Amino acid sequence: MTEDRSVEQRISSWLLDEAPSQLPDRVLQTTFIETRATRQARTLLPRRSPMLRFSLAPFAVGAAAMALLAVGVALSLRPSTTVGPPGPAPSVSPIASEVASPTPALPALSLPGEIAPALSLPGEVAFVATVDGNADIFLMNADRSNLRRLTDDPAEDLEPTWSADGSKLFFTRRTSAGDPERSEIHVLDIATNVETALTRTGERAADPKLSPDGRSIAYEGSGPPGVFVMNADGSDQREIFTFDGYYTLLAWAPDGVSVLLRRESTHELIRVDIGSGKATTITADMEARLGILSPDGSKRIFQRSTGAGGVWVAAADGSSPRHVFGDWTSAEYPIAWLPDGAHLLLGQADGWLYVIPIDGATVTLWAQGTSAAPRPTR
Amino acid sequence: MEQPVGIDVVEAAQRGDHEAFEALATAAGDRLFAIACLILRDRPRAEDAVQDALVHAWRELPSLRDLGRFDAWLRRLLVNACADQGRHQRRWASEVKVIHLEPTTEDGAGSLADRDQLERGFRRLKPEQRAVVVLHFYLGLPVPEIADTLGIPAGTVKSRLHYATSTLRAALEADAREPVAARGRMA
Repeated sequence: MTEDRSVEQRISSWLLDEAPSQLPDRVLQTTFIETRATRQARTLLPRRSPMLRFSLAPFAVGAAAMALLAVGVALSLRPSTTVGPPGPAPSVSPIASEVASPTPALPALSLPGEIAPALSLPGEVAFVATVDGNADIFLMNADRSNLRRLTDDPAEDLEPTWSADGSKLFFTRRTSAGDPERSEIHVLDIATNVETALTRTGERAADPKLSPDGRSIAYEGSGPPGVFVMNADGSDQREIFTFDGYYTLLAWAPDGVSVLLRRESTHELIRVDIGSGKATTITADMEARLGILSPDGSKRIFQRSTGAGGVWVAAADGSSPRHVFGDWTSAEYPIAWLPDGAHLLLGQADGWLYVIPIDGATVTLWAQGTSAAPRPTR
Repeated sequence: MEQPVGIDVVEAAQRGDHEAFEALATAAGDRLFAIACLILRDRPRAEDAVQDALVHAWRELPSLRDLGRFDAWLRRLLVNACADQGRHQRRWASEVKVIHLEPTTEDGAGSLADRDQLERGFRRLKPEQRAVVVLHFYLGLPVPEIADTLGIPAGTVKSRLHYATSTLRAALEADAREPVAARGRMA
């Protein structure tokens, strides 16, 4: 740890030495000449809107351009109700606004394989997309049709995860402007559009992970920073493991009584028992057995924390592991099975989501976004 | 040095007040340029990135719903502009130009060997990894705020930070293993 600090101090000092002190005046002058001649793109949006349910149309994915082109908004307005722990009810006033998504250029791909223009995949996927500078959660068919907005809040909505039956969506909502250390976990009932705040910590509660039996939620919390567990209705919140460095909560272990963390300083996988809080290091040969089970229960995907890393697939018992994609630096986003059990959805550093068949044949650009969560089929 | 600008100025700029936008851009310019230079290691490209980010900011400012997030939003536009600049380089690592300032100290972090080895290690990083390093070690942003700025999960920030730090540590350790006579400036 001391050695790490020394390296970090040397990096900081080097960067401070290297940083130039002043932007040349001509850059600002040129910029202002251009901006004076540039019209601002859109009309002013309401900065604080109530939770509204939008349907979005048209949603066009140009097969050639592979970009999300336009999102028209405001066809149906359905206010939601926040229930759960006491709190002020949101004021509701119908607002109809035109919201256009960014028109991103085709990103430079760091992935192998070709981009297939057509998809024929079953199921739906919730994912986070940033529209007009704010992250919200959207739902779209896996074949890239029928885009819908699930959340619309001035705060950022992140890290969606489904209940086992696909009826509820848990997610993280940043609660304080400009302060990512303040967030709470919410749940949205898809059928009723009723949204419930499960935590009211006033600090940070984030990255919810639903237990295999659907009864508990593990999440990253603060006070002090660590892994917390609560019942799925938000009751009985308690810390089970306190971080002593950088950790990432990955998932529940298949046993349903422990969670898996990654210790970022060593890449080690750590299993923490929910009941005792005891942490044990997972050996590399156990990784496959702790992977995410495919919808038909026949295979697991997992990320190697040793060697070159990457996304791997194995039989359900962890045997016959096979490399599918990337190294550990490229497989840093959550990966998920699509409902057909033959494709994975993977986010990448370029801010796009990709579909990758487990046979490794063709990589397909799916949509711009992060934190994708395929909806479980009932 | 970046000067604090009130939210009322952001609001005015959002309504199309160009003078207010100029105040915002002027206040942020030096800091944005420093970030871009550190990420791109190339002053002309850094100037282009700052200009692209500011023009983008002016155009898209009306769509910013949470004015309190202006600084983080502007940083994100800049990092994206840096990534765009990086994509224009067919061979990122080999085309990097080294910015060398005169060392201010000869001990610890400021030693010539450190600087060259850190530079060499930094060249091996992808633009998105460089961005995380600069935001964390130069601006001093904590992991959640970097995640907020870049719009990526905190776990991803940690991974990138860890990978980048490991790479830079390896570069420094490689330097420590080299005979003194073999050390020196890069070709």
